[in-house]
Amino acid sequence: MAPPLSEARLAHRRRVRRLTAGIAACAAAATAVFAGAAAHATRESSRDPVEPAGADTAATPDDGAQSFLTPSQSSPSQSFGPPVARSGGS
Amino acid sequence: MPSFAASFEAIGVENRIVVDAPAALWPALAIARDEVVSLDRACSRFRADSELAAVNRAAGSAVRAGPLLLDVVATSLRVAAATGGLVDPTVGPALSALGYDRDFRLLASSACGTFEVRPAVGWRGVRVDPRAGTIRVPRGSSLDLGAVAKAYCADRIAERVRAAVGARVLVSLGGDVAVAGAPPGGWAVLVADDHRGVDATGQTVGVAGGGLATSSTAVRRWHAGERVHHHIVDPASGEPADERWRTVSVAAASCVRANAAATAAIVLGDKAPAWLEGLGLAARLVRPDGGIVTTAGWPEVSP
Repeated sequence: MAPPLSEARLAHRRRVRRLTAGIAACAAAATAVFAGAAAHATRESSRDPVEPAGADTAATPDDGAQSFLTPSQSSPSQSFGPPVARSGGS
Repeated sequence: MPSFAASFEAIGVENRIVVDAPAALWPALAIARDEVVSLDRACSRFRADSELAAVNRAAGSAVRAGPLLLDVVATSLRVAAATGGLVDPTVGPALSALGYDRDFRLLASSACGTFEVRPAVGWRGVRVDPRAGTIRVPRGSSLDLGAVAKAYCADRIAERVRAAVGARVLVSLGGDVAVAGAPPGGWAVLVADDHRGVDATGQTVGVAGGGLATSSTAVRRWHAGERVHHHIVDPASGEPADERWRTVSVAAASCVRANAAATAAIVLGDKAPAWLEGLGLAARLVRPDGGIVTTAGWPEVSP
C-alpha cells in the first residue's frame, strides 16, 4: 500500500488538475471560435462581394411573364390572300 | 373585303397603315404621323434634342420627362421584368460600345474600327416617378428603347385610329404590327426576315387582333473590326445574342407583348420554343439554316 501523500504533494496535484482543466477549456473555446469564424468565412465567400455587371438579369424569364406576355385572343390563321403588310426585322 | 393603305418613312423604318374604309385612310395616316413624330422627339437615342437624350446625359440624376417618355420607359421596365431581364432597356452602353452609337444609316455607311463588350447595368436601377414626372438612369448607364418604343407606338396608333375614326385598322411600324378590328379571317400579313422588300419569301398569316412582331438577327448588322454584329444584344453579356434563331415572329395580346416575346426568344436561344409554348404564345422561329419551329397554334403551312 502506497504511503499517504503529503499535504504539499496533494496541493501540487490539485494545481496540476486545475491547470489541465483550464487548458482544456481554453482549447474548447478556441475550437468554437475557429468554427464560428470558418462558418462566417464560408457564408461570406458564397456571397459575391461585388455584383458583376448585369447580375440582375436572369438566365430564364420568371413567372412575371405569365401575367404580362399574354396571347392574342385570336390566334393567327393561315391566310392565302395577298398580304397587306409585312412583319419582319427592323 | 377591300383595304386601303398608305406608307411613309420615319424613324429609320418603313411604316404602313391599312384601314377598311377609304374615308378613314387620311385621318388615320395623320394620326400615325403625329404619333411617330412625338415618339421620335421623346424616345430617340440619336437625336440630341430628344427627351431620352437629356435623361441619358444626366445619368445618376432624376430628370423631368413628358408623359409619353415616362410611359414608354415604364413599359420597358415591365417588359424587362416579364422577360427576366432578357429584354433590358439599359443596353444603351452595350450597343454604343459595339459601335452602334449613331443613326443606323450613318453606321451602315461607315466602318467601325474597334468595339468593346459592356454588359448592361441592369433595369432594376432605373427609376420612373410618375408623380414627380421624372426618370433616373443609373450612373454609367443609358437607355435604349428600341425593343419597346415602336411596338408601343403601333399599339397606340391602332387604338387612337379605332377610337377616332371608327375604321378597322392595321398599323405596322417597321414590321411591328398592331391591329384594332379586322376583316373576317384577319389582316393578311407576310412574316419575313425583313420588314422591307417586295419578295414573298415567308408565310402569310391572318391577324385578327392584338399584335404581331418579328425580331431578326438578319437585319441591322454592321462591321466592327473583324466581326459582324447585329442589334439584338444579350444584356447579361453585352454581346450580340447567339444566332440560334435568324428570325422569331410572335402573336400576342398587343404589339408590345409580341415584340417583347420575340426579342426575348432571340436572346433565350434554344430554350425559346418551350418558353413560348409555356406562355401559350403562337410563334414562328426560323433557324439560320431556314428550318422552322412553330409554337402554340401558329398555323402550319399548307402543302
